[in-house]
Amino acid sequence: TRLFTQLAADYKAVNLGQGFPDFSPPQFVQEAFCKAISGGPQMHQYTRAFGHPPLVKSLAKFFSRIVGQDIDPLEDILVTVGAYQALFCAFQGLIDEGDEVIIIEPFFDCYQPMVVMAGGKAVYVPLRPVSEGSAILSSGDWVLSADELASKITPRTKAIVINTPNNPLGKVYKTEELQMIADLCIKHNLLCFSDEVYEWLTYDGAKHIKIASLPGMWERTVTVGSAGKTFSATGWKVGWAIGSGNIIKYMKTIHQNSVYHCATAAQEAVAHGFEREYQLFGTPESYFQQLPAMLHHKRKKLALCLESVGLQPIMPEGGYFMVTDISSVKVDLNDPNTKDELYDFRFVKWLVKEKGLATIPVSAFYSPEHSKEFDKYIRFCFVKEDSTLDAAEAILRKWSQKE
Amino acid sequence: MSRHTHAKRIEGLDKNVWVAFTALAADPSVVNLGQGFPDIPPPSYVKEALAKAASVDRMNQYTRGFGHPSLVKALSQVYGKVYGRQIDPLKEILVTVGGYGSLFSAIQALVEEGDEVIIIEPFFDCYVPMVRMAGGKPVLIPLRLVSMKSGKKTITSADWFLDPDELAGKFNSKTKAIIINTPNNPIGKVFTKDELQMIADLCIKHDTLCFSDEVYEWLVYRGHQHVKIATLPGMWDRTVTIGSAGKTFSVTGWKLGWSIGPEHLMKHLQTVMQNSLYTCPTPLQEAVAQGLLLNYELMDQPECYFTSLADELEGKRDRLAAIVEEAGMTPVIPEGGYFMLDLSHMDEDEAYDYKFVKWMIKEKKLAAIPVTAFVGEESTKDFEKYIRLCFIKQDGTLDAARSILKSWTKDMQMG
Repeated sequence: TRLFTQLAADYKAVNLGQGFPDFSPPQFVQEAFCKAISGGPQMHQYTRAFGHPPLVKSLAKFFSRIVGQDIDPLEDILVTVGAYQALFCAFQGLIDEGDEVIIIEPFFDCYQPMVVMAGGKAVYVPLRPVSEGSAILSSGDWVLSADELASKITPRTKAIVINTPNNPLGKVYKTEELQMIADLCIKHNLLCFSDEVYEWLTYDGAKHIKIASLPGMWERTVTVGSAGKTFSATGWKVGWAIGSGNIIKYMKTIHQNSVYHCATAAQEAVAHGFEREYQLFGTPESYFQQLPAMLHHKRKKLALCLESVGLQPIMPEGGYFMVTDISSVKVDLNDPNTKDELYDFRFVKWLVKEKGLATIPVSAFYSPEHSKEFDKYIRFCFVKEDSTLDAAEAILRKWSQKE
Repeated sequence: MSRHTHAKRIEGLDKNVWVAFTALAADPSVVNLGQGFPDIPPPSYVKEALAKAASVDRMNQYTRGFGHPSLVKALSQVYGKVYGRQIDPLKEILVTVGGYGSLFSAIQALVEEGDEVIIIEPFFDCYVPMVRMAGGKPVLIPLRLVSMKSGKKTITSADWFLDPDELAGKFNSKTKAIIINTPNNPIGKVFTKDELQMIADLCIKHDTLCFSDEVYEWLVYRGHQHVKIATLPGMWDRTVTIGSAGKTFSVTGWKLGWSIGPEHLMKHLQTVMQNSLYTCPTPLQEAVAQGLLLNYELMDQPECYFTSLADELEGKRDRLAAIVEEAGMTPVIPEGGYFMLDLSHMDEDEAYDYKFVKWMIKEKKLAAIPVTAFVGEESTKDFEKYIRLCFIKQDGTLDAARSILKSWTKDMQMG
């Protein structure tokens, strides 16, 4: 995605590509951060390596209630530099040379290189669209075949990586789907790395379910979360891994031999954020209610825009991305420089250069073996100010009028 | 659960001196001269810069992965001046999570299964586990205390040397890199140009890389000069130099550091970065950039924090040295850094430094760090009589230590 960020900047495009908000974090966390900055000298010095005590305590309290498990703040939680580093610690701490790791496509692009760096082998299984009955597909129509998944498991399989809500599709796995995965994990004694950074962003009543809360799963699951996505502060790079101490301890060893500590003040601010959300949980004042409500409206806005130019968006049940089928659009991608690239890559480049609108090609989220099957989709990010979405709308409107 | 075994790379790496001693020293009644962080406040302008950055929307979102543009530019300016060469901010600099993160990135990027890495004892304790985690083999060589010239009463970090023949003997065809740390933690030695030249000659002869941990680079006391090995002929192309915002601006809790080196090495560190944590926090990087630019204007002047902090610490160094001498101990006066070693004046059959420090924390409420945490097993007997004290502390803290040591000595004289 770095290449596309550069391209967007070069053409001064309206950027619906990279996944981060163009608005500010909520005031209460910003205030908490300012308070930490002007707090005592210890706010600017090393804190506990595996997680600032107020933060691990508030995370334990908050998530114990949700997972239905008594989470030990010191044993069962590791605070990391973003969810990214939590994933890194999981792969480095638990995946060995020759271990196989099942990755469900489309996948957040870091999973594959992290598996490779740990000496493991990535084994892919794609989500596939089931029905094309209605005009607008939903991410819920993309499913995993139980047989196909089971066929990918070998005696070398160590872990499976799931991401719910999913980036880029927005799929929110249902309990039955997670149960199917859980059954296989238990049957074959696999670990499960569950990337749940978008856990609060679900729409139309879709419920985020934690696979770690299913029977037999707590002891084998690492659940990864992100303050950046939770509190719209991606630049703070505070994340965490929660799981059974027996597994988290290996991740702590990686952490203590790679970065050792995370920045103190930001952790203090996130701790306050979770304290507040614990008190307001389920009420209208909760940011975890307000953010998805705000994004729900943006999701609708973007979907209408895309439909109006003849594109087919796949309505995401969660997350802040929307994937759109571009196969019905006929454009002359006459750039000789890109003629050997996949269709969606070429389309995205054309869209940036000719229309000034930046997006991400979805085949980037697939393995080399499957990318050609899925090269007719592009990803839009809608966690943007209305003015940004309006600008995108104007571009699309102009384009559709020309056709 | 037998299949939920850890990856082999972490075998034997779970123990850590800090995890053990930080817990012990956390008792608020303990005077903590152990772990290396200031209890004095950072300069107010860096805190203000952070508050200011945090109030800008864009500064709370992701920035450039290899380093926030304003920070890498500021680093390029400051170090361009220090090195006397043009440093490309985008290709020759990587911002990392502390100096620690730079060490990790360099070792992961450039050390492979079977590579040997020379490490000078005593060493900052993470070097060995990081090399082992990368599949490399640590090869240790101690700094040795050269016997005192007659009439010279004080021991300083300058009395510790590398034996040139011993060092040369450690290099072979498998040697991938040597790690140096100047000013050194824990002794405080500031390697002279000649000493660095000796190391450089060997690096060039054996085509070895050099990882130079210079996090204490500004904390050098009167009469001494910090020399960057990367500035010696033939060394830029084979050296990764590591720096730290935490040590530079007394903000260890910000965990920002950087690596500087030639593009052909730095690109590999960048690959590690992009596959481990991707980017560092934005507002902190912006604030460090502001701090660097401010001090760049003041460089070589007494108001420059790089100079003023060293002056302040020199006073504390001398104060602590007097305190421990008064208590009958023998300090090793550091030429740089913020640690001081003390020769325990206990009897020969007294407890090893680990036991000694644990006892001292428990019974005397004074925390230090055992120096054998910084050496390999074979060198333990040469270093077990030393404990490390950190003096980047408020005068009140140093006074509290003095009271403890005074009453301790009194007890011993009476007992």
